[in-house]
Amino acid sequence: MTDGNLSTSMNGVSLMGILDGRPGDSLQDLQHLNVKAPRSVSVPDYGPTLKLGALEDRHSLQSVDSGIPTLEIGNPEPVPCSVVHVKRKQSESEVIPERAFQSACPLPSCAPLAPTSSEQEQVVRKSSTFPRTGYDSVKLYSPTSKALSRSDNVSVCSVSSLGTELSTTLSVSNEDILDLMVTSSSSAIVTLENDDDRHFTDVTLSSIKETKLKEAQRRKKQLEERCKVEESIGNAVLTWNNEILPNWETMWCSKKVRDLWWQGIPPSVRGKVWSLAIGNELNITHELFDICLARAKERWRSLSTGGSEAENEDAGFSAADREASLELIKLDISRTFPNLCIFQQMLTYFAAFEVFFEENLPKLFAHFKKNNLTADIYLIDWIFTLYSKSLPLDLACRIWDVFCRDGEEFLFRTALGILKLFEDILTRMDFIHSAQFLTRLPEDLPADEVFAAISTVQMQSRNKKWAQVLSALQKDSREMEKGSPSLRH
Amino acid sequence: MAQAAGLSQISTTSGQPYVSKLVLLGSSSVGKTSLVLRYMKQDFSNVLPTVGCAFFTKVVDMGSSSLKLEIWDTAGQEKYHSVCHLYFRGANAALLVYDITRKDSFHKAQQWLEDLEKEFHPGEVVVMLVGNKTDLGEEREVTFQEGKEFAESKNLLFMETSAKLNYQVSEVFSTVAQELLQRAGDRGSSSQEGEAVVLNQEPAARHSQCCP
Repeated sequence: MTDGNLSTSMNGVSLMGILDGRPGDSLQDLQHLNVKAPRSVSVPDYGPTLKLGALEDRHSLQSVDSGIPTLEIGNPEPVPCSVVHVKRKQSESEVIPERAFQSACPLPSCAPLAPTSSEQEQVVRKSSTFPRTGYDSVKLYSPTSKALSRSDNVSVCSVSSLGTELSTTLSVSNEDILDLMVTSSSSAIVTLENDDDRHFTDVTLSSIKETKLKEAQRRKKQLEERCKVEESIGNAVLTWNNEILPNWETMWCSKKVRDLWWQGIPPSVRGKVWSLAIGNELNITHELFDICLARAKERWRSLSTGGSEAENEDAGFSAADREASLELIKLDISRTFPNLCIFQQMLTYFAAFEVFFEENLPKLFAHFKKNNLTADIYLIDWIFTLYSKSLPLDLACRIWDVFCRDGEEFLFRTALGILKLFEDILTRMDFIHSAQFLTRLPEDLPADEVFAAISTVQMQSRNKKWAQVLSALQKDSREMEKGSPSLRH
Repeated sequence: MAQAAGLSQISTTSGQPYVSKLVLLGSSSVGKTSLVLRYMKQDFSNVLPTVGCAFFTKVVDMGSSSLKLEIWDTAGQEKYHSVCHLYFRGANAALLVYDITRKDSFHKAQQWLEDLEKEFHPGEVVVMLVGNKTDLGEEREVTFQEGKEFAESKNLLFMETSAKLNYQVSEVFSTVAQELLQRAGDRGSSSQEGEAVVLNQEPAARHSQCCP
C-alpha cells in the first residue's frame, strides 16, 4: 500500500488527515486516544439500529460525518464532534424534551435496571482502558427505542465525550433516575385521584405496569447486548494496543490479526492501524505537511481572488510545479495526477471488475448485460467516494479498514459483495430500477451481512488474481491506445 | 449508436408508453439536480454535488400518448468529465444546462454540445439549451438573446428557467417529451431514419426549432 494508492481513492478528502497521523509515537498517544474513545467508538460500532431520516438527510449527514475518523487522528479535541452535534438538522429543542419524556415515562420500572448499572460499573473496572461509563450512563436514561434517530445517537455521543469525570457522570445519572421516579409516581397518584372508575384505573394501571415491565426487560436485554459488544470491543482494543501494535512488523500479516482486522478495527486504535498499514514512504513529517498545507491555502486564496486571471498572474509557474496547483486538482484529478491509475484508467478497472463479476455472479452478470446495465453506473458512485456516500459511516469505516490493508482490490471485492447480497432482488429489476437501487442503497445495511457477503467473493479468475487480471488488461489497453493517446471509450 | 434508436424500437401498439432516455449535462452547480427535483417532487432545497449519475423516471402524459422519461442526472464536477461520455450513450434527449449568472457555464454547455456532436448524428438526439437561475436576474452574465441566438445557430431548443421559483421547469421536460414523441411519430410514418423531421413551433415556449 503506497501513499499514492490511498490518496487516489480518498478522493482528496481524507488524505490530508491520514498523512497527519503520527506513525512514530504510537505508545505515548494511546492514553490520549482512549480518552476520547466514547465519542469515536459509539457512532460506528454501537449504532446497528440506526434509522436514518430522508435520503437527502443521510447524504448531508454523511458528508459531515465522514470527517470524523480523519479528524480524530490528528485533532484530539472533542470540538469537531460537538460541532457536528450542533449542526444536526433536528434542533436541540426537539431532541431534549423528547429524551426527557422518554426517560420519565417508564420510570416505575427503572428499578430492575439498578443492578445492571452496578454490573456496568464492575465491567468498567475490569477493563479500564475502555471508558464506556459515560456513554452507558447516558444510555440508561435514554430508552433505546428502535426509532432512535441518528441525530439522537450522535447527540448522545457528544454528551459522553464531554463527560470528563466518568464516575461523576454515572452517579449523577443515578440520581436523575431516582428523581424522575418520584416525579413519575406522583403523577400516577394524581391520575388515580382524578379517575372515578376504580376498576378501569386498575386495569389501566396494570396494563401500564405490564408494558413498562416489558419495556424494562427489553431495555435490560439491549443493555446486556450492548455490554457484550462493548466487552468484545474493549478486548479488541487491549489486543491491538498491547499485542499487535508493539509487534506490528511481525504480527500484522498473521492470521489472528487478519481475522481481528476483518471484524472492524476499534475506532480508538483505527488511526494508528491505518497509519501503520498505509506506511509513510514519502517520509512526510508534520512540519512538511504544515508547510505544504500553508502553501496550498495561500495558493487557494490567490486563485479565488484572482479568478479567471489566475493563469496570467502565474505566468512564471513552471511545469514542474503543476502538481502543486490546486486549480488543476479542482479541474481534473486524473489529468493532474496521471500516476493515480484508478482515476486515469477507470475503464480498465471496470473491465477487470467485470471479469470477477462474471466469475462470482454469472446469473446477475448476464442479467445486467441483457439490460445494458454497465458497471460504471454504480461503480463510479461507489468507488469515487470510497463508499462514503453509499453506505452508513460505520460500515464505510470498516471497509476502509480492510482497504488500507488489501488495497484497491478490496473496493471492488466490496462491490461484488454488495451485488451478491442483493442478487435476488436485482435479478428481478429492470435497468432503471437497478440503477436507482444501486445508486441509492438501502439505508440500514447491516455491516455483518455485508461483510459476510464480501467474504464469499473469490478474487480469483482462472487462477489469476486481481492484480494479474488488471495488469493484463492495462497492457491490452496501452497497446490499443498506441495510435490515439486520448482516453476514449 | 445502436442504442439511440431505442425510442423507435418500442412499439406503441402494445399500449406501453414510449421510453426515452434524457440526460442532463452542464457545469457543476448550474442546477441540474435542482431542475430534476423541482420537476419530480415539486421541491427546492440545497443539494450536494452529484456523484457519477442519479436516476429518475417520470411518465409524461401527452394526451393521446404518454412517454416514460428515464432521467439521467449527471455529475457536473470536472473530475467526472472523463466518465461522463459513458452516460450519454444511447440518449434520446439531452438538456444542456447553464447558469445565467456564470458565463463559463454557458461556454461549458457549448463544449458539451461538441461532445454530443462527436457521439451522435445530427438530429439523432433532441437537445435543449437551458439557462437556469432566472431568479438571479441582477447577476446575469448571459443574456436571453445570447442563449437564444446560440441555440438557433445550432438548431437547439431553448428555454430559461428558475428551479427555485419553479419557472418553466415542467415546460422544459414537456417540450422535450413532445419533441421526442413527434420525432418518433414522424419516424414511424415516414419510416425514414429521422431525416425528414419537421417540427411545429411550440406556442408557449420561446425556443427555436431543431430540425436536422
